Amino acid sequence: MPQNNFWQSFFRNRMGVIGFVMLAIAVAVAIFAPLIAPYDPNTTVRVTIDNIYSPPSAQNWLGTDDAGKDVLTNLIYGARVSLIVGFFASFISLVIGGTIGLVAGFYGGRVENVLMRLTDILLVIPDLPLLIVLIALLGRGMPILIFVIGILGWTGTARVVRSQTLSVRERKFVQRARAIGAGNLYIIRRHIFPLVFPLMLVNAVLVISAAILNESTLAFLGLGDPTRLSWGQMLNFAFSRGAMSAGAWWSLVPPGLAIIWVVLGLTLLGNGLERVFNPRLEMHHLAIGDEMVARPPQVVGPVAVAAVGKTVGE
Amino acid sequence: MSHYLFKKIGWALLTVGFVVVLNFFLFRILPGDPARAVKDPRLTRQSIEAVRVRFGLDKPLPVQFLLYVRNLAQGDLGTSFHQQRPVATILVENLWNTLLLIGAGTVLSILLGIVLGVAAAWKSGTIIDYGALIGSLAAWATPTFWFGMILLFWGSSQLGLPIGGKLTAGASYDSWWEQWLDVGKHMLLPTVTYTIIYAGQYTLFMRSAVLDIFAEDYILTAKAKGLHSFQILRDHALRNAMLPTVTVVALNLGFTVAGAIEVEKVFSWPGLGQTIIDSVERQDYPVLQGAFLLLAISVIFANLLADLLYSYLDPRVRVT
Amino acid sequence: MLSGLINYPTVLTTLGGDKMNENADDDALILDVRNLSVDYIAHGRPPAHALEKVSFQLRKGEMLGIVGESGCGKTTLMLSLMRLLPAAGRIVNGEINFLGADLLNLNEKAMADVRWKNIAMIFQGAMNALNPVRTVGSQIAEPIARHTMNTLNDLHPIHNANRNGKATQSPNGNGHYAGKNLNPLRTVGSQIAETIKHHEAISDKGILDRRVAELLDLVGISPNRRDQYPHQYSGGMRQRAMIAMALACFPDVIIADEPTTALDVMVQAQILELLATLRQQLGLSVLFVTHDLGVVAEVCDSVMVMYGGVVAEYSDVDTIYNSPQHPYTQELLKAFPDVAHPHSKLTSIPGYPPRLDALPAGCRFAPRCPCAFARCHQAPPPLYHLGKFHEASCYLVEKTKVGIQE
Repeated sequence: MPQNNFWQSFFRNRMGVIGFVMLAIAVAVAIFAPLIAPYDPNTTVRVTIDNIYSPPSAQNWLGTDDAGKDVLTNLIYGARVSLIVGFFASFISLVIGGTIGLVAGFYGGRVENVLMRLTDILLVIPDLPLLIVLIALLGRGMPILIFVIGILGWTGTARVVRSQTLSVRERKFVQRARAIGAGNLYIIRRHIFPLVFPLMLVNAVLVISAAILNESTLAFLGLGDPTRLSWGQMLNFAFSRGAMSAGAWWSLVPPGLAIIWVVLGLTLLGNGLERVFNPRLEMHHLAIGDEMVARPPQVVGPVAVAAVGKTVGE
Repeated sequence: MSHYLFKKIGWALLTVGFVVVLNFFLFRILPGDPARAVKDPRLTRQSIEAVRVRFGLDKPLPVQFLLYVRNLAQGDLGTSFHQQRPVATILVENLWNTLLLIGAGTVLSILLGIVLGVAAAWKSGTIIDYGALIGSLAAWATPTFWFGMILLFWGSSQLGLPIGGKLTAGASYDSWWEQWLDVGKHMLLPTVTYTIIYAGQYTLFMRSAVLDIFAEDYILTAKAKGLHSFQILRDHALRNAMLPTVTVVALNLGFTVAGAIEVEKVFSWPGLGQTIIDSVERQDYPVLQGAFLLLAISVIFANLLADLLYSYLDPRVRVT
Repeated sequence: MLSGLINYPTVLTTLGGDKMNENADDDALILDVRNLSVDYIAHGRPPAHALEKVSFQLRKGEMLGIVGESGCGKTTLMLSLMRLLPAAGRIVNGEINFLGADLLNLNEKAMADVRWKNIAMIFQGAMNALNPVRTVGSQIAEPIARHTMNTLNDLHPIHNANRNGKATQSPNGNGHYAGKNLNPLRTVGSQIAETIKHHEAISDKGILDRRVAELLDLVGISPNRRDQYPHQYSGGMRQRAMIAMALACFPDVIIADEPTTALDVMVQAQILELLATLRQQLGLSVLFVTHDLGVVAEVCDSVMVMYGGVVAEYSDVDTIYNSPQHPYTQELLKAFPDVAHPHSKLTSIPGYPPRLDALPAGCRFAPRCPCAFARCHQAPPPLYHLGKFHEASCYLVEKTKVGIQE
């Protein structure tokens, strides 16, 4: 797809642009966290009864948490953890899912059968319990978190890539390349991958959002990296350390809204990209109404004249 | 019919087999296996010996696997390290609570999702459509546990609803319906949480399924027949749109379990999700292993049911 | 002979009562389309002129062939007659006078009454036209239930036709085509019944079943296949079921939109034979859309050749075949085998019909026309009247014919 066309149709899609902007803001916050955050998250705070769950004030715009730390600072640095886990985990998923999808779609036959059956089985097994089991057995920490979320999140990608590969494989230029004796790896690299890649990117955006949701959930359940304060971790502390009974809504609401912000942004962006790469002709047979007849005002015919005359006469 | 049925049942059995193997090896190969568990200080000497014999820890791995399968076939999932009770007993107690919660939430969210999705597709491009779309996307992006926390925060302080559990602690009931009323009060917020979050996804699925159907040629035929729009929706679009939705709901069942775990944690609902989290915290591996197996098999079974429902709805599958 | 049995919907009699008397001298005229123009509107782009000033007439018992390549506006024309254009379609000009009343004046509800009851359609590719989850029988019965009373209608023309002789029963053709006009989830019977039920207000199951059985019998399908689903039918049978469905309310006009396109040759022939037989038995008035001039020669009385959304040539079938005036008609004829001259060379027309959003300034066929000259590229030619019933839009006729009028 030519560059110009891509941006044109992308910008025509308002939801996608909104999603892109939402995501860009989140990424910027994560990158420039030290510049934006009002405090250093690593300074130790001397905890007194006054600065535990203190409500929003001029010093702490979003109040403080159970350890007397600034919620806004935590929120800004939390973006880093969520986004890093999201991006790296989805990278693992993409590599696994992309490879399995490409191989299954390209080679077909028994290879495809085995790989897709495996994908289907993993799709049926509930995600979160398996994640919990893996973390319970492997231990906690960011690398493990990234690893387990990554190796369980590839099923969707594999399916998308496989079906796209199947359709690309039948195209003329692939058959021609094969006819002139090009090797399988060459064909996959030069002909198939470039056409499958855009769809993988679209899929990646959605995989990232799922990974971020998974990270928050695990962290909330107390299975996150205890040394890094992600948004899920903030909510875990708030939930288990009395924010509810203290009425400290300021430590409950902002991390959740932050998660929604990023996930919603990614979802909108993903849908927008999908519409650009995979435009669907929108037909709606029931959306037809009277507006279909849009001809200029008619010359009044004999029937209408009679009717008008009658009304006037009465 | 029978061919389809056999294929689906065979498929479900194969998946169960895979889960059993996975379940066995995960807990053997990874840290936290029974071989280490026997060093758990909480266990008495007798129970350590019992574990050793039952798991055949002195025998090679394949034999251990066969022993595991044999125990499983007898409904023996081992003994909880923490509670010193059979795992199967603990799980069965909690399974019903989870089914109650997921059942109510799933049925309600599917109904809500169908209604909203059909309405959105029906009034495509209007404020109803955009409202349903934005609401659903927001619900999809919202972490279940967070939404539950907010509802709990609000419900317990403003509406006087209980802060968790299934029954009020220490309460005695004069009749069965008083007890159920109490359960209902406790269930209200968890069910609402679950319903709203999952209805978002179902709305999105149903909306796009109905829109796809509206673009089909047979809808044009129905319109050409002079049928009114509502008749077309009722007689030609709804059932057809249910097909992809059933598939998606089935595929989604694995995720509904995630919702149950989150909701149970937030509302201290004594279900399997709560059991899983507790067993992780207590390093009670037999319970964790059993709970995972039970959840996975439940989802596989529910999937099979969805396939059967599909075959009932789609005549092309029904008759072979 | 059967016109007395047709119940015109009340809207039409009230709306067009006076006009019908006005046309008393030409009472066989059923459909009189004048200057029909349709645009497709797209966001941020100029509208595409899909139809421009299309006029034609259909008389009682006439079969009018509408011919042209794909993308010439044939289907757009048919859909606009029933006011079923996709959401982007706009009828920007013209009249569709049906039995004297302009259909474009009706509101949507009144138009819904006209659909199928008065103008029915056989869609191309019947698989997707039937609901896959409903039985064929129920779908045939559907429209009947709206307009007639709960009486067993022995005087119904279809009943008479059955006495006169049945359409030939023929073996199933193969069903490998991609048509999608039947709902795959509903039995064929239910999709036919639906029509009857809807339009003739019949709620009695027994009467409805009998009507559906009669209809299926009429098109050569065993009535006990009523409760089967479209996927259990072969391609040819689905098309037959579509025809039965179109006949359900004995409409005044049947639009057959490429009814044989996706079928193999044997089944095509059977369907054509069926249509021809039914037409004779029931005196149907048919608009027959096709890109196959050979088929038109077999079954039609008159032909309208369309190109790029305009009428290229319009006349009776003999004139079109024996003295075609428009180069497009001539080229089309060359592209089809001629039984009389089996050894003549078949040629295809190079190039494609114009894109509707990028129409040529002059004659729409000029870029592909072997005879085009300078004037053809400057302004579109008018429709010349070449005789009592012969029209062509080509400058060439000025040179070859005398006494023409624009």
